[in-house]
Amino acid sequence: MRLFLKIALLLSSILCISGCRISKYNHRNCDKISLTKDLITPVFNPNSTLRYNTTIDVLKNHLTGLIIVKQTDSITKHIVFVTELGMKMFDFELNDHEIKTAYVFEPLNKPKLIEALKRNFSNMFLLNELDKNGIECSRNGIKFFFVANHTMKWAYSGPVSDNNNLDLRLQETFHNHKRTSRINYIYNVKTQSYSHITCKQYGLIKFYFELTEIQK
Amino acid sequence: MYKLLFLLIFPFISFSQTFRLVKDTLVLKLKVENMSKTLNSIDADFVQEKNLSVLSEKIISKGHLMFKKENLLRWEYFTPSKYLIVINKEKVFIKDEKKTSKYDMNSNKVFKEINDIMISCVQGTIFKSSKFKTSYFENEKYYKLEMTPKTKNMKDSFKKINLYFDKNITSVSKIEMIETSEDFTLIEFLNKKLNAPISENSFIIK
Repeated sequence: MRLFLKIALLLSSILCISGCRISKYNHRNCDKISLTKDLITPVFNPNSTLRYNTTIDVLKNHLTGLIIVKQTDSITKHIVFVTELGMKMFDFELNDHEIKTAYVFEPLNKPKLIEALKRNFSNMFLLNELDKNGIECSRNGIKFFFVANHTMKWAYSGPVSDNNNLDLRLQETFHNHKRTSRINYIYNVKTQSYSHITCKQYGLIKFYFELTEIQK
Repeated sequence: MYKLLFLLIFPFISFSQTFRLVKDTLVLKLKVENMSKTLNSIDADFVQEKNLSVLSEKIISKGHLMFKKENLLRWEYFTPSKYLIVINKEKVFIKDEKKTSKYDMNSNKVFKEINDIMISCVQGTIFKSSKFKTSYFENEKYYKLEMTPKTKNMKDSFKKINLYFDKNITSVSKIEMIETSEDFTLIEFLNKKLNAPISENSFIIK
Protein backbone atom coordinates (compact mmCIF):
# COMPACT_ATOMS: atom_id res chain seq x y z
CA MET A 1 0.00 0.00 0.00
CA ARG A 2 2.81 2.36 0.97
CA LEU A 3 4.69 1.51 -2.22
CA PHE A 4 1.56 2.16 -4.27
CA LEU A 5 1.16 5.56 -2.58
CA LYS A 6 4.80 6.42 -3.26
CA ILE A 7 4.45 5.50 -6.94
CA ALA A 8 1.20 7.44 -7.27
CA LEU A 9 2.84 10.48 -5.65
CA LEU A 10 5.88 10.22 -7.92
CA LEU A 11 3.71 9.87 -11.04
CA SER A 12 1.52 12.82 -10.10
CA SER A 13 4.63 14.93 -9.42
CA ILE A 14 6.06 14.04 -12.82
CA LEU A 15 2.73 14.88 -14.49
CA CYS A 16 2.52 18.15 -12.62
CA ILE A 17 6.09 19.14 -13.44
CA SER A 18 5.67 18.31 -17.12
CA GLY A 19 2.36 20.20 -17.20
CA CYS A 20 4.00 23.29 -15.72
CA ARG A 21 6.82 23.27 -18.21
CA ILE A 22 7.11 25.26 -21.35
CA SER A 23 6.98 22.25 -23.69
CA LYS A 24 3.22 22.62 -24.21
CA TYR A 25 4.02 25.68 -26.34
CA ASN A 26 6.10 23.67 -28.82
CA HIS A 27 4.41 24.00 -32.19
CA ARG A 28 5.56 23.27 -35.68
CA ASN A 29 3.56 25.73 -37.78
CA CYS A 30 4.49 29.09 -36.42
CA ASP A 31 5.78 32.31 -37.95
CA LYS A 32 8.60 34.45 -36.74
CA ILE A 33 7.44 37.91 -35.74
CA SER A 34 8.56 41.00 -33.91
CA LEU A 35 6.07 41.33 -31.08
CA THR A 36 4.98 44.90 -30.49
CA LYS A 37 2.30 46.30 -28.21
CA ASP A 38 0.07 46.85 -31.26
CA LEU A 39 -0.48 43.11 -31.63
CA ILE A 40 -2.11 42.65 -28.19
CA THR A 41 -5.17 44.55 -26.97
CA PRO A 42 -3.51 46.63 -24.24
CA VAL A 43 -4.52 46.34 -20.59
CA PHE A 44 -3.52 49.92 -19.97
CA ASN A 45 -4.60 52.85 -22.11
CA PRO A 46 -2.41 55.96 -21.59
CA ASN A 47 -5.45 58.25 -21.97
CA SER A 48 -7.37 56.81 -19.06
CA THR A 49 -6.77 55.68 -15.49
CA LEU A 50 -7.10 52.02 -14.54
CA ARG A 51 -8.77 51.25 -11.22
CA TYR A 52 -9.03 47.76 -9.81
CA ASN A 53 -10.27 46.43 -6.49
CA THR A 54 -7.33 44.28 -5.53
CA THR A 55 -6.40 41.47 -3.19
CA ILE A 56 -2.81 40.37 -2.73
CA ASP A 57 -2.07 37.12 -0.89
CA VAL A 58 1.51 36.38 0.02
CA LEU A 59 2.50 33.78 2.60
CA LYS A 60 -0.10 34.25 5.36
CA ASN A 61 -0.75 37.89 4.56
CA HIS A 62 -3.91 39.05 2.85
CA LEU A 63 -3.88 42.64 1.62
CA THR A 64 -6.84 44.35 0.02
CA GLY A 65 -7.28 47.77 -1.54
CA LEU A 66 -7.29 49.66 -4.76
CA ILE A 67 -4.72 49.57 -7.57
CA ILE A 68 -4.48 52.64 -9.74
CA VAL A 69 -2.46 52.75 -12.95
CA LYS A 70 -1.99 56.15 -14.50
CA GLN A 71 0.20 57.79 -17.12
CA THR A 72 1.59 60.97 -15.57
CA ASP A 73 3.67 62.27 -18.50
CA SER A 74 4.64 61.12 -21.98
CA ILE A 75 6.87 58.30 -20.72
CA THR A 76 6.01 57.83 -17.04
CA LYS A 77 3.34 55.57 -15.56
CA HIS A 78 2.54 54.97 -11.92
CA ILE A 79 1.15 51.87 -10.22
CA VAL A 80 -0.25 52.84 -6.83
CA PHE A 81 -1.80 50.55 -4.23
CA VAL A 82 -3.97 52.14 -1.55
CA THR A 83 -5.74 50.22 1.22
CA GLU A 84 -9.41 50.79 2.05
CA LEU A 85 -8.31 52.85 5.04
CA GLY A 86 -6.55 55.21 2.65
CA MET A 87 -2.98 54.19 3.44
CA LYS A 88 -0.73 54.15 0.40
CA MET A 89 1.22 50.89 0.40
CA PHE A 90 3.39 51.44 -2.66
CA ASP A 91 3.86 53.65 -5.66
CA PHE A 92 5.95 52.28 -8.53
CA GLU A 93 7.11 54.59 -11.27
CA LEU A 94 7.65 53.10 -14.69
CA ASN A 95 9.26 54.60 -17.73
CA ASP A 96 10.22 52.83 -20.93
CA HIS A 97 13.20 51.07 -19.43
CA GLU A 98 12.89 50.64 -15.70
CA ILE A 99 10.61 50.46 -12.69
CA LYS A 100 11.53 52.60 -9.71
CA THR A 101 10.01 52.59 -6.25
CA ALA A 102 8.60 56.07 -5.71
CA TYR A 103 7.16 55.10 -2.32
CA VAL A 104 6.74 52.02 -0.20
CA PHE A 105 5.08 51.69 3.22
CA GLU A 106 8.00 50.90 5.50
CA PRO A 107 6.76 47.54 6.92
CA LEU A 108 6.49 46.28 3.32
CA ASN A 109 9.94 47.48 2.37
CA LYS A 110 11.56 44.08 1.76
CA PRO A 111 13.67 43.89 -1.42
CA LYS A 112 12.38 40.46 -2.56
CA LEU A 113 8.77 41.44 -1.94
CA ILE A 114 9.14 44.73 -3.83
CA GLU A 115 10.89 42.97 -6.71
CA ALA A 116 8.08 40.41 -6.98
CA LEU A 117 5.37 43.09 -6.84
CA LYS A 118 7.07 45.13 -9.57
CA ARG A 119 7.57 42.10 -11.80
CA ASN A 120 4.04 40.75 -11.41
CA PHE A 121 2.29 44.08 -11.88
CA SER A 122 4.32 45.00 -14.95
CA ASN A 123 3.50 41.56 -16.39
CA MET A 124 -0.21 41.84 -15.54
CA PHE A 125 -0.55 45.29 -17.11
CA LEU A 126 1.82 44.45 -20.01
CA LEU A 127 4.00 47.36 -19.01
CA ASN A 128 7.29 45.61 -19.71
CA GLU A 129 8.96 46.08 -23.04
CA LEU A 130 7.30 43.87 -25.62
CA ASP A 131 9.45 44.82 -28.60
CA LYS A 132 11.18 41.49 -28.92
CA ASN A 133 11.49 38.86 -31.59
CA GLY A 134 9.28 35.86 -31.10
CA ILE A 135 6.85 33.52 -32.76
CA GLU A 136 3.17 33.68 -33.55
CA CYS A 137 1.01 30.57 -33.80
CA SER A 138 -2.68 29.88 -34.27
CA ARG A 139 -4.71 26.87 -33.27
CA ASN A 140 -8.49 26.44 -33.14
CA GLY A 141 -9.11 30.19 -33.32
CA ILE A 142 -6.66 30.86 -30.49
CA LYS A 143 -3.57 32.83 -31.27
CA PHE A 144 -0.46 32.87 -29.19
CA PHE A 145 2.70 34.89 -29.09
CA PHE A 146 5.84 33.61 -27.56
CA VAL A 147 8.82 35.85 -26.80
CA ALA A 148 12.00 35.43 -24.82
CA ASN A 149 15.07 37.22 -23.58
CA HIS A 150 18.19 35.50 -22.28
CA THR A 151 16.57 34.37 -18.99
CA MET A 152 12.80 34.78 -19.23
CA LYS A 153 10.12 33.60 -21.60
CA TRP A 154 6.60 34.95 -21.99
CA ALA A 155 3.64 33.24 -23.65
CA TYR A 156 0.50 35.22 -24.48
CA SER A 157 -2.63 33.54 -25.75
CA GLY A 158 -6.25 34.31 -26.51
CA PRO A 159 -8.79 34.82 -29.30
CA VAL A 160 -8.30 37.34 -32.07
CA SER A 161 -10.37 40.53 -31.85
CA ASP A 162 -12.22 42.30 -34.72
CA ASN A 163 -9.21 44.52 -35.35
CA ASN A 164 -6.95 41.49 -35.51
CA ASN A 165 -5.38 42.06 -32.08
CA LEU A 166 -4.95 39.35 -29.51
CA ASP A 167 -7.56 39.69 -26.73
CA LEU A 168 -5.48 38.30 -23.96
CA ARG A 169 -6.84 35.38 -21.94
CA LEU A 170 -3.66 33.90 -20.57
CA GLN A 171 -0.10 35.01 -19.99
CA GLU A 172 2.48 32.60 -18.67
CA THR A 173 6.06 33.39 -17.76
CA PHE A 174 8.92 30.93 -17.60
CA HIS A 175 12.39 30.92 -16.14
CA ASN A 176 14.76 28.19 -17.26
CA HIS A 177 11.82 26.32 -18.81
CA LYS A 178 9.91 26.32 -15.52
CA ARG A 179 6.68 28.24 -15.22
CA THR A 180 7.03 31.16 -12.82
CA SER A 181 3.61 32.78 -13.15
CA ARG A 182 0.22 32.34 -14.72
CA ILE A 183 -2.03 35.33 -15.40
CA ASN A 184 -5.66 34.92 -16.46
CA TYR A 185 -7.65 37.72 -18.04
CA ILE A 186 -11.36 38.27 -18.61
CA TYR A 187 -12.01 40.76 -21.39
CA ASN A 188 -15.21 42.79 -21.28
CA VAL A 189 -16.32 43.47 -24.85
CA LYS A 190 -18.86 46.11 -23.75
CA THR A 191 -16.36 48.26 -21.89
CA GLN A 192 -13.46 47.13 -24.10
CA SER A 193 -11.30 46.54 -21.06
CA TYR A 194 -9.92 43.67 -19.03
CA SER A 195 -12.45 43.47 -16.22
CA HIS A 196 -10.86 40.70 -14.17
CA ILE A 197 -7.23 39.68 -13.82
CA THR A 198 -5.76 36.97 -11.60
CA CYS A 199 -2.08 36.20 -11.25
CA LYS A 200 -0.42 33.27 -9.54
CA GLN A 201 3.29 33.38 -8.89
CA TYR A 202 4.84 29.97 -8.35
CA GLY A 203 8.04 29.10 -6.55
CA LEU A 204 9.16 29.20 -2.95
CA ILE A 205 7.24 32.37 -2.15
CA LYS A 206 3.81 32.12 -3.70
CA PHE A 207 1.77 35.18 -4.57
CA TYR A 208 -1.84 35.42 -5.63
CA PHE A 209 -3.28 38.64 -7.04
CA GLU A 210 -6.91 39.21 -7.92
CA LEU A 211 -7.97 42.41 -9.64
CA THR A 212 -11.55 43.41 -10.41
CA GLU A 213 -12.03 46.52 -12.48
CA ILE A 214 -14.04 49.35 -10.93
CA GLN A 215 -16.41 50.73 -13.53
CA LYS A 216 -16.94 54.48 -13.48
CA MET B 1 -17.61 88.62 -14.27
CA TYR B 2 -17.09 85.26 -12.57
CA LYS B 3 -13.39 86.04 -12.11
CA LEU B 4 -14.27 89.35 -10.48
CA LEU B 5 -16.81 87.67 -8.21
CA PHE B 6 -14.24 85.05 -7.27
CA LEU B 7 -11.63 87.71 -6.48
CA LEU B 8 -14.14 89.52 -4.27
CA ILE B 9 -15.26 86.39 -2.42
CA PHE B 10 -11.90 84.62 -2.20
CA PRO B 11 -10.42 86.69 0.68
CA PHE B 12 -13.46 85.81 2.82
CA ILE B 13 -13.25 82.13 1.93
CA SER B 14 -9.55 82.00 2.69
CA PHE B 15 -10.08 83.96 5.92
CA SER B 16 -12.67 81.50 7.14
CA GLN B 17 -10.35 78.58 6.34
CA THR B 18 -7.30 80.09 8.02
CA PHE B 19 -6.35 78.55 11.33
CA ARG B 20 -4.63 80.52 14.06
CA LEU B 21 -2.87 79.26 17.18
CA VAL B 22 -5.09 78.68 20.20
CA LYS B 23 -4.04 81.03 23.01
CA ASP B 24 -5.34 79.06 25.98
CA THR B 25 -4.42 75.47 25.14
CA LEU B 26 -5.03 74.32 28.71
CA VAL B 27 -8.74 75.12 28.50
CA LEU B 28 -9.01 73.41 25.13
CA LYS B 29 -7.21 70.29 26.43
CA LEU B 30 -9.61 70.15 29.37
CA LYS B 31 -12.61 70.47 27.07
CA VAL B 32 -11.37 67.65 24.82
CA GLU B 33 -10.63 65.48 27.86
CA ASN B 34 -14.12 66.12 29.22
CA MET B 35 -15.60 65.25 25.85
CA SER B 36 -13.76 61.93 25.68
CA LYS B 37 -14.81 61.14 29.27
CA THR B 38 -18.51 61.75 28.61
CA LEU B 39 -18.52 60.19 25.14
CA ASN B 40 -19.62 56.59 25.52
CA SER B 41 -20.65 55.80 21.96
CA ILE B 42 -20.68 57.20 18.42
CA ASP B 43 -22.85 56.09 15.55
CA ALA B 44 -22.06 57.98 12.34
CA ASP B 45 -21.71 57.82 8.59
CA PHE B 46 -18.41 58.83 7.07
CA VAL B 47 -17.03 60.01 3.77
CA GLN B 48 -13.37 59.35 3.08
CA GLU B 49 -11.47 61.34 0.46
CA LYS B 50 -8.11 60.05 -0.64
CA ASN B 51 -5.92 62.59 -2.41
CA LEU B 52 -3.07 61.07 -4.39
CA SER B 53 -0.52 63.26 -6.14
CA VAL B 54 -0.62 61.01 -9.23
CA LEU B 55 -4.38 61.26 -9.52
CA SER B 56 -6.18 64.50 -10.33
CA GLU B 57 -9.49 63.31 -8.89
CA LYS B 58 -10.15 62.14 -5.34
CA ILE B 59 -10.94 58.55 -4.41
CA ILE B 60 -14.18 58.71 -2.45
CA SER B 61 -15.18 55.92 -0.08
CA LYS B 62 -18.32 55.89 2.04
CA GLY B 63 -19.21 53.91 5.10
CA HIS B 64 -20.51 53.70 8.63
CA LEU B 65 -18.81 53.86 11.99
CA MET B 66 -19.83 52.60 15.41
CA PHE B 67 -17.75 53.13 18.50
CA LYS B 68 -18.49 52.05 22.05
CA LYS B 69 -16.39 52.36 25.17
CA GLU B 70 -14.11 50.59 25.94
CA ASN B 71 -12.26 49.58 22.83
CA LEU B 72 -15.13 48.50 20.58
CA LEU B 73 -15.08 49.80 17.02
CA ARG B 74 -16.91 48.86 13.84
CA TRP B 75 -15.56 50.65 10.78
CA GLU B 76 -17.43 49.60 7.65
CA TYR B 77 -17.01 50.64 4.01
CA PHE B 78 -19.86 50.27 1.54
CA THR B 79 -18.32 51.88 -1.56
CA PRO B 80 -16.25 51.46 -3.71
CA SER B 81 -15.96 48.02 -2.12
CA LYS B 82 -17.34 46.30 0.94
CA TYR B 83 -14.79 46.17 3.71
CA LEU B 84 -15.23 45.85 7.45
CA ILE B 85 -12.87 46.27 10.37
CA VAL B 86 -14.08 45.34 13.83
CA ILE B 87 -11.97 45.93 16.90
CA ASN B 88 -13.28 44.06 19.90
CA LYS B 89 -10.95 44.67 22.82
CA GLU B 90 -7.85 42.58 22.00
CA LYS B 91 -9.15 41.10 18.76
CA VAL B 92 -9.22 42.59 15.26
CA PHE B 93 -11.51 41.18 12.56
CA ILE B 94 -11.12 42.20 8.94
CA LYS B 95 -13.74 41.11 6.46
CA ASP B 96 -13.49 41.87 2.77
CA GLU B 97 -15.56 40.53 -0.12
CA LYS B 98 -13.67 37.24 -0.06
CA LYS B 99 -12.24 36.55 3.33
CA THR B 100 -12.60 37.14 7.06
CA SER B 101 -9.37 37.37 9.01
CA LYS B 102 -8.92 37.46 12.74
CA TYR B 103 -5.87 38.87 14.49
CA ASP B 104 -4.78 39.08 18.06
CA MET B 105 -3.67 42.60 18.80
CA ASN B 106 -0.97 41.56 21.24
CA SER B 107 0.72 39.30 18.71
CA ASN B 108 0.79 41.88 15.95
CA LYS B 109 2.58 45.17 16.53
CA VAL B 110 1.24 46.83 13.37
CA PHE B 111 -2.37 46.05 14.32
CA LYS B 112 -1.78 47.31 17.83
CA GLU B 113 -0.56 50.64 16.42
CA ILE B 114 -3.44 50.88 13.92
CA ASN B 115 -5.92 50.05 16.67
CA ASP B 116 -4.46 52.67 18.98
CA ILE B 117 -4.64 55.32 16.27
CA MET B 118 -8.17 54.44 15.13
CA ILE B 119 -9.69 54.26 18.61
CA SER B 120 -7.89 57.29 19.95
CA CYS B 121 -8.73 59.35 16.83
CA VAL B 122 -12.43 58.52 17.08
CA GLN B 123 -12.40 59.14 20.82
CA GLY B 124 -10.34 62.29 20.43
CA THR B 125 -7.71 61.20 22.91
CA ILE B 126 -4.83 60.78 20.47
CA PHE B 127 -3.39 64.16 21.44
CA LYS B 128 -2.41 62.63 24.80
CA SER B 129 -0.22 60.03 23.06
CA SER B 130 3.51 60.31 23.68
CA LYS B 131 4.06 59.36 20.03
CA PHE B 132 2.96 62.81 18.80
CA LYS B 133 3.77 66.44 19.40
CA THR B 134 0.47 68.36 19.36
CA SER B 135 -0.17 71.94 18.26
CA TYR B 136 -3.55 73.60 18.75
CA PHE B 137 -5.29 75.81 16.18
CA GLU B 138 -8.74 77.26 15.64
CA ASN B 139 -10.86 79.12 13.12
CA GLU B 140 -14.51 80.18 13.15
CA LYS B 141 -15.80 76.67 12.70
CA TYR B 142 -13.29 74.21 14.11
CA TYR B 143 -10.54 73.51 16.59
CA LYS B 144 -7.69 71.71 14.87
CA LEU B 145 -5.26 69.49 16.76
CA GLU B 146 -2.20 69.08 14.58
CA MET B 147 -0.18 66.04 15.59
CA THR B 148 3.35 65.50 14.35
CA PRO B 149 4.81 62.02 14.93
CA LYS B 150 7.81 61.71 17.24
CA THR B 151 8.60 58.00 16.91
CA LYS B 152 10.31 56.43 13.89
CA ASN B 153 7.44 54.03 13.10
CA MET B 154 4.92 56.84 13.06
CA LYS B 155 7.25 59.13 11.11
CA ASP B 156 7.57 56.41 8.45
CA SER B 157 3.79 56.37 8.00
CA PHE B 158 2.56 59.88 8.64
CA LYS B 159 3.82 63.39 8.31
CA LYS B 160 0.89 64.67 10.38
CA ILE B 161 -2.51 63.69 11.69
CA ASN B 162 -5.01 66.52 12.11
CA LEU B 163 -8.12 66.16 14.25
CA TYR B 164 -10.93 68.66 13.77
CA PHE B 165 -13.52 69.32 16.48
CA ASP B 166 -16.56 71.54 16.13
CA LYS B 167 -16.49 74.57 18.41
CA ASN B 168 -18.78 72.93 20.98
CA ILE B 169 -16.32 70.02 21.18
CA THR B 170 -18.94 67.30 21.21
CA SER B 171 -16.94 64.83 19.12
CA VAL B 172 -14.36 64.59 16.32
CA SER B 173 -15.74 66.09 13.10
CA LYS B 174 -12.91 65.28 10.68
CA ILE B 175 -9.64 63.38 10.64
CA GLU B 176 -6.91 64.28 8.17
CA MET B 177 -3.95 61.94 7.72
CA ILE B 178 -1.05 63.40 5.78
CA GLU B 179 1.51 60.90 4.58
CA THR B 180 5.22 61.53 4.15
CA SER B 181 4.65 61.74 0.39
CA GLU B 182 2.15 64.60 0.98
CA ASP B 183 -0.74 62.39 -0.17
CA PHE B 184 -3.52 62.72 2.32
CA THR B 185 -6.78 61.17 3.48
CA LEU B 186 -9.65 63.20 4.87
CA ILE B 187 -12.40 61.40 6.79
CA GLU B 188 -15.48 63.42 7.63
CA PHE B 189 -18.14 62.12 10.04
CA LEU B 190 -21.78 62.87 9.23
CA ASN B 191 -25.19 62.18 10.79
CA LYS B 192 -23.57 61.62 14.17
CA LYS B 193 -25.53 60.11 17.04
CA LEU B 194 -23.62 60.53 20.27
CA ASN B 195 -24.15 58.32 23.31
CA ALA B 196 -27.01 56.45 21.65
CA PRO B 197 -27.34 52.79 22.69
CA ILE B 198 -25.35 50.41 20.47
CA SER B 199 -25.66 46.65 20.80
CA GLU B 200 -22.46 44.75 21.54
CA ASN B 201 -23.51 42.33 18.77
CA SER B 202 -22.39 44.97 16.25
CA PHE B 203 -18.82 44.23 17.30
CA ILE B 204 -19.02 40.48 16.81
CA ILE B 205 -18.24 38.80 13.51
CA LYS B 206 -19.11 35.17 13.14
